[in-house]
Amino acid sequence: MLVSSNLMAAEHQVSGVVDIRASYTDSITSYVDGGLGKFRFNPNGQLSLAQAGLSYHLDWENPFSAHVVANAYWDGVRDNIGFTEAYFKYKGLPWDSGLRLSGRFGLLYPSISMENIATAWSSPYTLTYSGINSWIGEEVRHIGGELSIDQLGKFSGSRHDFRLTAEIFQSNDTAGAMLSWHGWTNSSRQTLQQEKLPLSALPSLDGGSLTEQARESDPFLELDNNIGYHLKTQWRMQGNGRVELGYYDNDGDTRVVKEGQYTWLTRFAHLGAKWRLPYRIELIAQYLKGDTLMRAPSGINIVDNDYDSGFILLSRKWQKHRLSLRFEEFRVTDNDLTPDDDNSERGNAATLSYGYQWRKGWFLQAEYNRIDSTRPARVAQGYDKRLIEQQWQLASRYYF
Amino acid sequence: MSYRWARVLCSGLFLVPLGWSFAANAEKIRLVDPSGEPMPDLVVYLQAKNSQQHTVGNKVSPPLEIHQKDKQFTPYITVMQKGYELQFVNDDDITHHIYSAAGPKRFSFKLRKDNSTKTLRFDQEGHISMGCNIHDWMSGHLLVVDTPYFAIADESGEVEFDEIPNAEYEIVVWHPQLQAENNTLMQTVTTPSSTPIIVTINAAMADIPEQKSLDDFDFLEGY
Repeated sequence: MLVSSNLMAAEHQVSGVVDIRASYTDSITSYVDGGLGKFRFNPNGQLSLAQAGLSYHLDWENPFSAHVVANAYWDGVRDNIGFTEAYFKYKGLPWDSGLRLSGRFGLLYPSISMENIATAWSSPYTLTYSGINSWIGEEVRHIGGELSIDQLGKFSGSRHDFRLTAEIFQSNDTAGAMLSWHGWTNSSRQTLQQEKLPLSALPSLDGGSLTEQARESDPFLELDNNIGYHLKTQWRMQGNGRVELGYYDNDGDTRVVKEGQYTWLTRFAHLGAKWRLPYRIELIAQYLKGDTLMRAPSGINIVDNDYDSGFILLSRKWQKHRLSLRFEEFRVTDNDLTPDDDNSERGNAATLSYGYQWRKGWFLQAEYNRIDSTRPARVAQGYDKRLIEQQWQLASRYYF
Repeated sequence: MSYRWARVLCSGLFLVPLGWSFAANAEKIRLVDPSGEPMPDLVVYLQAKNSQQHTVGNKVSPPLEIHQKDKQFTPYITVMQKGYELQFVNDDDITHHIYSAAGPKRFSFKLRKDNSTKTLRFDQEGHISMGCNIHDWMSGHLLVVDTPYFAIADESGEVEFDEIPNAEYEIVVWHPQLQAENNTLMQTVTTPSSTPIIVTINAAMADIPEQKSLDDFDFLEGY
């Protein structure tokens, strides 16, 4: 009895982040609100609870732990509260060969983002995430099981560690819809598990060739019962950095449509590096390239897009200060012949962010974002196809 | 003639045993690289050539502690005599999962935040490489030796032993980053030594891995 209670002894940990933000946005209606603006806030000034994230860990004495993360947004665009992650984690001890097995199972993000590493998937570098990781946070989460094997170099006196990760997943069949219909964004929202995402008022959806499509995309649906997979390999060099390469395929069966939710076949490769440069400058670079396909029940390709995006983020911390600079490029190429649904776009973005650590968990952060993009679909909403969007943000972020 | 024999007999009975078993001297050992520069932070211990020697003058070991502080093993290297206990102390406000997965003593335990402790006894000599299963960059080393004469070289590459029984010893120099067989170099010495003992380290030292996460932020969650 004593032994079993000892074995089941567990430690509870609660952590969180409260991000209160004043922002001014020079753009058009946000994509979060059904527009084609690439920021999460609607035009003009705003005070918001940009993120209230709560993370709960239950850590047993054995190699298992449970993790639940909830987030809330009160930004006047779409106020909501809900779960974003809920999974069990296994992390075994290394064997004397230096091999170690670990795994996760549940509602989780595929391990792709190199920015979103802090409490409740926030980023310590910038307030808004890169285009790639804004998309991961919007519609690339899933219910999956992930198994990783590490080779730890220190067991053989080497500075090099290697990891292979294989993941299978479901509940991700509409991924690609939002990227197609509003394009790349610079956001700091994560879609809550119960949330549905409004599509922009485009001619194809409004009496055009996409009238069967529901007005809101349900990003975490399972429609075809196919199992998708994600493979990743990572090389770490102790003290210097890490490089990773992965491939994601949701194996969607595009013939399956239920209640206006189409199954999208979405596949991409991703490449990432995090490296310590001279002068203690941290480099993060990610590149993602893939395609997505949505078909009419007749088999005609309605949406057939190629997309890619890449960013370079340079960050330097000194004492209580951190300065981060991010440049990105993004593109969607529309390959289908659907006349009233041009998803093509091209653009670049820049972010300058300065953070000051006022107390141990209390950060003040000021950030400027600029996106210069060309998207012909804006013309149907009465805007020029080329748009320069700017955003100024001042945040108080409290981590506990 | 008989007087001289008596003296030899006397010295044989008293003086030689005194000098051989009981006489002890302070010895200073200096570690230098081939260019004569001091080599600090290496473990130095004396292993008597005659195995009975090191039962003499067992050193009383102070309570030994290895701390987990700022997500680092502090100190990075610990040396102790076998048969003693060692206490692990977590000074951080997060949990660590300390392990040794290879070598003569294998263990693993979670050390909860805010001064949790765990005491282990080490009865077998050898090198124990320790890690934290939560923070892979953390790394610490423990060397368990079968002699009371051990120390870690100071900034000027020196160690000093107060009371070394006069005998023939192997000076063993060890460091996890010493690029030599078993990370070890040896040199024989007979004490008392009439000249200062200088050990030249004829092997390269690899860089000591920095015990620091690539991600420099206090509120990481293992993503």
